[in-house]
Amino acid sequence: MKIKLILDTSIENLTESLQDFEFIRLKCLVGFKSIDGYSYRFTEALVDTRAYISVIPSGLAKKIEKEILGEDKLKGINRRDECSIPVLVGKTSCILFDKDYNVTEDLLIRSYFAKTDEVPVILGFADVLSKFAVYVNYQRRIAYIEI
Amino acid sequence: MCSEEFKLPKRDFFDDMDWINENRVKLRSEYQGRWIAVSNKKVLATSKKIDEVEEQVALKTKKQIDQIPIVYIEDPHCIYMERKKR
Repeated sequence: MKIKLILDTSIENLTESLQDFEFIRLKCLVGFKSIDGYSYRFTEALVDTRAYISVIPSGLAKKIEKEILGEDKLKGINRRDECSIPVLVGKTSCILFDKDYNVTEDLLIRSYFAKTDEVPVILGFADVLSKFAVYVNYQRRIAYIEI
Repeated sequence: MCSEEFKLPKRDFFDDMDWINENRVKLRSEYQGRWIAVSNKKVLATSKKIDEVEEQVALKTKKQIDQIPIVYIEDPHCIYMERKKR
C-alpha cells in the first residue's frame, strides 16, 4: 500500500539574492489518537528526513494520547541555548493517511512534545520513516510512503 | 484499519486540504507563523495558538473539529533540527 505525500511547492522570495526561489517541502496527512481514545486529531506533518524524533506542538499534544518520559531541548541551526525550544519527551500513537483513503495501522512513535505552538508537526525517522520506504521523484511530482 | 471505531475525515476535509495546497503562497504571505483552520475553501480561523483556532472554529461552524484541516503556515526560512542529548 502507498500513502501519497504532499509536495508543498511554491515560488518564494527568500532574500534579495534568492528571488523566485522554489520552496519545496514534503508533507503527509497524519492523525493522532485523541485522549478519548475513539477519535483522531487530523493535520498535516512535515516529513523531515533530518529529524530523528517527531515533533508535536503543545496545543495538539495536550489533546492526544501520550506517555511522557522526560524533558529535553530542541535547537535549530543556531545552537545557542536561548534559541532552543523546551520539549517533553515521550511516545504517542498516530496514523498516516492520504486523500484516497489509504491509511496505516496505528504507529507508536517516540516524540518531542514542544511547549509552544510555533512549530509545525514534524515526522522524523524514529518509528516512522525508519519503518517504511519513502519514495520521492520531484521532477515527476510523485511522492509516497510504501507500507 | 487501525481500529473499529476509526473514521477518516469526509471528502470536504480533503477538498479543503487541496485548497490549502493550491494557495500556499497567499497563505504564507498572510498567515506565516500562525495556525489556520480552513472550511469550505476559506480561512475560518487563525491564531498562533491551536486552542484559539479551535475556539474560533467552534463559534463559527457546527462541523466537528476532526472534519476541518488545522495546519501550521511555516516560515520558509526555518530549518528544523534536533539537539543530540548529551
